Amino acid sequence: MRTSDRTQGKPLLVLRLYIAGDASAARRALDARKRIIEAAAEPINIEIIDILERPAEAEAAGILATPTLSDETVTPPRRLIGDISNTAHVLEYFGCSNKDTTA
Amino acid sequence: MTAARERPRTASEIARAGEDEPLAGFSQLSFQRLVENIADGILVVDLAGSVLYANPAAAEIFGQPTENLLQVPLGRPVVTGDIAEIRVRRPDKPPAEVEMRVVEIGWNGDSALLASLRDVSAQRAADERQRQSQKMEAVGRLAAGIVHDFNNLLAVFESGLKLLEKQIAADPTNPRVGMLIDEVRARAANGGALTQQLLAFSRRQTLSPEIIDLNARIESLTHLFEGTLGRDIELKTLLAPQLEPVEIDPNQFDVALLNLAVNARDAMEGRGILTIETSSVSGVFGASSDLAGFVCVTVRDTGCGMSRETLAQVFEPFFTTKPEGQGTGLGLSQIYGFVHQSGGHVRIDSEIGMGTSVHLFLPRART
Repeated sequence: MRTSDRTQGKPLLVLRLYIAGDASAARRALDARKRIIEAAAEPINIEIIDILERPAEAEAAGILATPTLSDETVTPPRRLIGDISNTAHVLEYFGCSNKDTTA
Repeated sequence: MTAARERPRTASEIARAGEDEPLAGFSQLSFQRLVENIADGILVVDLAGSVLYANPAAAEIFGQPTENLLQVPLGRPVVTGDIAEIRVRRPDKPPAEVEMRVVEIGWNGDSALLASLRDVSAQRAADERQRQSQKMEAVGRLAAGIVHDFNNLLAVFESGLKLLEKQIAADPTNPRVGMLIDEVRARAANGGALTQQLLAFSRRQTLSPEIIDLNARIESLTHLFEGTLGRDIELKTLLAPQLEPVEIDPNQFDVALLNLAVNARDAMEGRGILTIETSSVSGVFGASSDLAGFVCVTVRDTGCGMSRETLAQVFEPFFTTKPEGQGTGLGLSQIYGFVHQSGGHVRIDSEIGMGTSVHLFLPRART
């Protein structure tokens, strides 16, 4: 279990959010990113990668579409694609607990 | 498994029950043809996010052969509500704007997700062109109205130059020469500022909702209005303090407000009071109203008003009460389109001879 790994002093969860420019979907994803970080019971680092500015990174990671939220510390990478505004769902998918449920 | 028994059996469950059993009277081959010829892209993705199946339309959207998509760690597709908007990268083509819908299905005995994809790039581009043309229409309406003001400005230049000519002939060292030059220069700057504002306004901008402070937006627009509504129209703003922010496209809002201001100017035939007011709906229309949760922008004029018959038609594109050459009537349909797209409502109160109030109800931004 990744969650228990982290509680035993393993590194915090590091995700990457791939977006494209400032389209409305990208802005929604950035909003969601903030809420995910706030809602998580443990520290999360979500790096933002704008694929218009850094296309090589999207290419190397095999990103087919945006917004994609990706955990690349596992093989194959664990990803969500589309609307990530359901914070609880996103945290659960990446094996991270929610402040509200742990409180 | 209880949940699985409660829902209708999926195609794969039926297929498991009897290998080649026809589905609702059709063979599996017919279904396969249907899926392979449908215009929407279809992906079946396992719960870990790997693509298990892609139809030819999906391959077209991704700009890659079907086999390249299989087993790719695309990610688990998620939507909140009905649709998610995604942008697809493609090897040798511009990106595609895609609407994605997702349902859970059974696939070869396991749970999977079916994502249907619709390429809306062409539609988005057409919408964008329409918005730009509506904006240019609004600018055109405004420009038509200010030609008169520009003529006045030219008359001021001309008389200023004449006075200057006389003064120079009489006594070129008189300080009045300098004053006259300053005066003409100030009028030229007025005209220049006006054209700059119009040009800035006409610039092509893409639709992008933002969280904005309506009061600040209105205040910045009133500078443009003051220069364009004419001297005999008094512009009043009654802006509610601590107005909640709204999430709308600011450029579309500017165009809507501009259209309303031009309509008001025309209804008042160049003379009257134009009031722009903001309020929280709960304070004005009662908290029990369906409109609670909205912020209202009201544009009120002291013009000629409208009859019930006219009111019924005002939102139709190209409907106009203005003489030929003075308006194409697109203003209110732009307003209606913008407000509805933003999840809001428009209400008009008007009576012949009593002026018109147009209320734009815009949803508060989600916090």
